[in-house]
Amino acid sequence: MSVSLALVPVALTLRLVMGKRNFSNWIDSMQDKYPTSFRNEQELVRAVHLAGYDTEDWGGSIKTHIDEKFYFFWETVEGKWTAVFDKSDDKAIIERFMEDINRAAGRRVFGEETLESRPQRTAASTDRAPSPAVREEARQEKKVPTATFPTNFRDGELLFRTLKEFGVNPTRHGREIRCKAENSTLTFRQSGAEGPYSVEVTNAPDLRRVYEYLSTVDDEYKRCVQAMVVEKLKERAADREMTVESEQVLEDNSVLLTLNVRR
Amino acid sequence: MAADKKQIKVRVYPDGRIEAETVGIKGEACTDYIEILERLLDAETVDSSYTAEYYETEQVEARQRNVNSTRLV
Repeated sequence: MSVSLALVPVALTLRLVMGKRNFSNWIDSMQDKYPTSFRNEQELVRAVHLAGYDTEDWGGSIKTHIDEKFYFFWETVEGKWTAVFDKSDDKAIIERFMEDINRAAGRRVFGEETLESRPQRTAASTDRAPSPAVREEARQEKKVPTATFPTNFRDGELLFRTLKEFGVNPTRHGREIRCKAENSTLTFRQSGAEGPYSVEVTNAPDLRRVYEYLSTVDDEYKRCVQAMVVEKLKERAADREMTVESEQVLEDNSVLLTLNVRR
Repeated sequence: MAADKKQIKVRVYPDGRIEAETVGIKGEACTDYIEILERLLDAETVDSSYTAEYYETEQVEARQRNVNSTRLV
């Protein structure tokens, strides 16, 4: 052996993309969580229906609409069914919703300290349900959640192909690539002519799911890069007076190519 | 394997990372393959190191130069 190299394909940026732990911390900072004392899912669903709201299974979570457009998710956090809202959601509406649920459950399932520690309580909040005008106003005021993440993608063609294989029908808009996934709009933008892409996520009901989706796309993209690198190497070796002596797929799914150098 | 057989081993990982090393390519000639590999793989070198063989070869050459110098003196 005489020289050992570590290389990164130009189609890839191996940079520190926000780790899962940091992402979780960031998401938590954007959420308001209201734990309940519901004993189980059945009790939760019964109370929510009795209060006049819906429940929809959503991959381990439960989705509930407060009105036509305003919805949130119930998740189990530390063993407790917890209502998870965005920080930007209207607090008065949330409070009214929690009172509805407490009434329907026949007890305070949302902790007293949680309700009373919220300073946004208003006189109107004691009404059983907000008027349509109030809901519309709250909707107008609610900011559309947008988040931008760095990615490892540098090859637009490969990214487009990977997204297409995922069945999300990507479309090109100039130098941008757009698609819809997990009920959100994803816009991939490249920085500079050959720089890495970033992805802007808009209207995400659940950023965690979008992140998981993007992680899966990232894994698939990298597998495509691996296949592309191996193929290119085999095609180009002959031009450099090299022959492929062997090709092995190792236990970790890496591909080891041994090339003989003729000159 | 014949002692003078020249080889390049390239390992491509599922996350896209690549490791490559030259085998049996003596001395500074191996550094020529850094650029060749970058072109072959469409990749950029992010780390490189010379292995024992590289330094052994260099030491032999250095020793020979010293011997020659001594003889001249």
